[in-house]
Amino acid sequence: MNKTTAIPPSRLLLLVVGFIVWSVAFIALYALNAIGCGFGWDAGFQRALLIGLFALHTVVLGGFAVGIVRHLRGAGFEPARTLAWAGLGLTVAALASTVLVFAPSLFASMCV
Amino acid sequence: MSEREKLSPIALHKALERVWGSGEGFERLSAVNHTVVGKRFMMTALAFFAIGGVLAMLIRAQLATPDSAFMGPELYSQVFTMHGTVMMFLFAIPMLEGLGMYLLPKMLGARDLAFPRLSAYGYWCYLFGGAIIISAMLFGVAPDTGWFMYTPLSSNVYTPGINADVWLLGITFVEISAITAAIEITVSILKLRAPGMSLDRMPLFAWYMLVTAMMMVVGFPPLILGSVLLEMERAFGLPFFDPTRGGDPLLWQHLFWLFGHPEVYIIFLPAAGALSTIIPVFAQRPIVGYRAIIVAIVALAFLSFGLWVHHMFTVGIPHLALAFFSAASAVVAIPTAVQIFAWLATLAHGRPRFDVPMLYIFGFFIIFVIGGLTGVMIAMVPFNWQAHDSHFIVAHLHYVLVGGFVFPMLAGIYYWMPHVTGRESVHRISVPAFWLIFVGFNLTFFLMHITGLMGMPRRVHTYPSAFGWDWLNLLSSVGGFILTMGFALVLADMILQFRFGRYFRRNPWRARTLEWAIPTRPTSYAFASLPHIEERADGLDVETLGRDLAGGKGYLAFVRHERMETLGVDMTTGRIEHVALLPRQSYIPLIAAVLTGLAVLSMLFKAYWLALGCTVLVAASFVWWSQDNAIEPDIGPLDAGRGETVPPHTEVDGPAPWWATVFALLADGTLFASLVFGTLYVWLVAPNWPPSEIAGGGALLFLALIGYAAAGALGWWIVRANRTGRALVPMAALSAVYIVTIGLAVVALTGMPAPSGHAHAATVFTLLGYGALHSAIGLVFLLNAAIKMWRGMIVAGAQLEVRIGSLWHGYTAVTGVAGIMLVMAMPALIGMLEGVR
Repeated sequence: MNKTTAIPPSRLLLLVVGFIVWSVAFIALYALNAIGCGFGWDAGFQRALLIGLFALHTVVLGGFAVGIVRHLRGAGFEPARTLAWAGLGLTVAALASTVLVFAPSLFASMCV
Repeated sequence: MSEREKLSPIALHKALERVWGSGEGFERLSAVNHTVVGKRFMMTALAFFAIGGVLAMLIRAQLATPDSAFMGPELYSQVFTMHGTVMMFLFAIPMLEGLGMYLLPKMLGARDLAFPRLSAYGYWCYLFGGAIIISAMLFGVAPDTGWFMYTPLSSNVYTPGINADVWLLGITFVEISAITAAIEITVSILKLRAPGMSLDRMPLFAWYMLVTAMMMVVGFPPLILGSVLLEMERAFGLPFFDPTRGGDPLLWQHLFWLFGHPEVYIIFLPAAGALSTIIPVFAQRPIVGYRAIIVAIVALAFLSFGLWVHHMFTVGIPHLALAFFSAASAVVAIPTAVQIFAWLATLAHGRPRFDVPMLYIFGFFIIFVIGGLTGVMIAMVPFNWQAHDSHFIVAHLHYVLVGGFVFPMLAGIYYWMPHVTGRESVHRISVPAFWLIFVGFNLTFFLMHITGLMGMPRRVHTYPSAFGWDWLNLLSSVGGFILTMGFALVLADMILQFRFGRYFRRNPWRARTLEWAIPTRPTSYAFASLPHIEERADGLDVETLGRDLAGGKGYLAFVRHERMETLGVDMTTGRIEHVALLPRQSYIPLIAAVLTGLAVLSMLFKAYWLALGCTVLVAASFVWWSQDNAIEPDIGPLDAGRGETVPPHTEVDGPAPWWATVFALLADGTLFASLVFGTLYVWLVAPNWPPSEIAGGGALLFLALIGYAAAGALGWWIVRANRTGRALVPMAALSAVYIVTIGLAVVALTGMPAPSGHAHAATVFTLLGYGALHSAIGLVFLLNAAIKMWRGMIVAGAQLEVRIGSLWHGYTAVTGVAGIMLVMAMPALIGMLEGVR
């Protein structure tokens, strides 16, 4: 058998974890907006929840990005290194997408 | 086993061909080989493309002049609906599947895909589903409510015939094929590669196909669910989309576009994979930005799922949600642009040489970029409101789909045709064919931007002469016929190559990917021996490698016990892990597909008892299929060649069938999540709530909930008990639990309000039915495992079947509990919402 260092399949999650958080943020914010409007929540309360969720996901993604940068230092061989680099790129892309796509939570009218 | 007599290349070829070959005459129907099935998919897709093209010509003939009497509105509606349906479902998706099936094993250094019989079943389902839809057109009952089948137009009230049923059932049939192909492709890429081909050495085409297949696994179930719900509404009156009974037509739009928008990228990404393969060959240098492209395609896949509402900007959605979807629609252009710049950089830094595929790549750049830019325009809500449902949208979608799929596919056809035929292209008509297509396409569709901006709506069978659209439409129609002449020349070129093309050397383009290391035309077994990959697999010396592999210097350079064998590897590192024993040629996939088709036809003609009987026979055919596949237990370690010894796939953790079950359950889970979304959507958004009678709660449901929890535990126990040969007791117990959960669901539903009365009762019925259906399938799993145990095929050291069954039982437990909890929570949720209203 080849003696290649084992890399578990779970390492592939590096490629998707950032955008999974982005997807969760999308579902959570869209659902919160629909539920808030459906239940007639106070606008200030709904806005605060939306901003809180937006900030939470941004912070989580920032944390993942920092974690992957640390992980990258220990990923000195292939394919771990490519996976880590691609994972970092995707997490940063997910962070940027989160900021760009969900920034309207700060100002757009919610139920009109 | 390690020291074998070395066969001469000719003897090795004959021995492999004897096992892998698909036979002649009637035996062709039993073919399961990826080369054969891949070619069948592509040829059938091209036949449907021709049908779709003829329909397009009819549309352009109708719209060429104002007040045209060529077609009446009823026929015109069928023609434009069928054009969209054929092109999207019967051409684009099967074409990309066929290309992937044909190329992937060859590019990855494997002898076949992971589940050859599943490939064959998928093909037959596609063929029969497509035949049902096309036959309906010939009988004048084709779908006529647009390829997106919006409700309420497609509901019983406004479409009382079988036209809509043909679409719903036929397309669902074809979607089965698409899902099976997606799972097949995903698992094959992850598990069946040449030893040494770690993920970072994989050619970009495989990355593209991996991402595409995963998108299909997650993207198609919402449409399948939507189709099932709409068919249940049409057939049995369950009002999911009927606003007078608590349903909502917008739920259909959500479910459709949850599939429909990712679908655009599902079509584009394989084409982009072809471009990423072809451009470096003609630029004569490696692709620029390998890692950046991987990042871009994964990002694109996710972002494409956050755009679906941009097809619904005019339906009345709050500004905040519009802003999310508008921003996501613009952001998705960035990863697309990353790929385009990577291709341009590859050409700029290389020494590009001209040939016919490059012409189509040139056409792709121009047309797709224009389509992308108009896409960013209509991502902006104010412009979208103006352009919605106008010919501007028709122009945009054709620029994206023809630019992003047809042009790259034509480049791919010219690039890989010598691989398929073993002959050189007759290039005399290739160049005029390209220019006819390029000029014809732009003349047809660029002008539609203008007619659209001048106010011409989509889907109208004629228009008056007063609006200044006449000349533009006439020119569009002229362009359409020029475009058709171009495609006719391409077809002629293909026939000429098949018939008269000069036999050529193995690698005419001097490519560096593995598919060119095998003989062309390809042999049934692809590689006489399997390579060991030590560098990125898009920069190989394929001439030397090809000679070595044909000479038997790689892995598995022999035939053992008349078995079809290839190698399974570790997903990430490409370390050799097991010998995958593949099933031989069989008529069972064809029989199973015929039975599936009969079930679909029975439903179409409302013969529900017959449909149920056919469904039972389909389940029986799958059990027969599984039993026929059975591999004797305790084979032990096998010689893989080159001094390596590894176990068969039945005796390792996580072989291809186990992962296929995981991905199948992921697809199933997406369907369940879509059902939960639908249940909550109608509760929160639909009119005419609350219902007069509320379903939910009760001791029976609580018992069923306990039953599902027990099913999960018993599934886990079966695996443990099988290690000591005592699995029959928990298997019997689980069978009893499944029967009880089915019974409880039936009894609980009889005591609830009729599901046709209100969308609430309809969703409760569907949630409980979903659980009961999974219990029934769980029984089939148990029956299959019990037969194999009785035959001595499942033992402690080879219990793959049991572990796969355990995955199913666990999934059934989780979704069963979740479904019942949602049903039990509904009365409280309805009360909460009623309280604030």
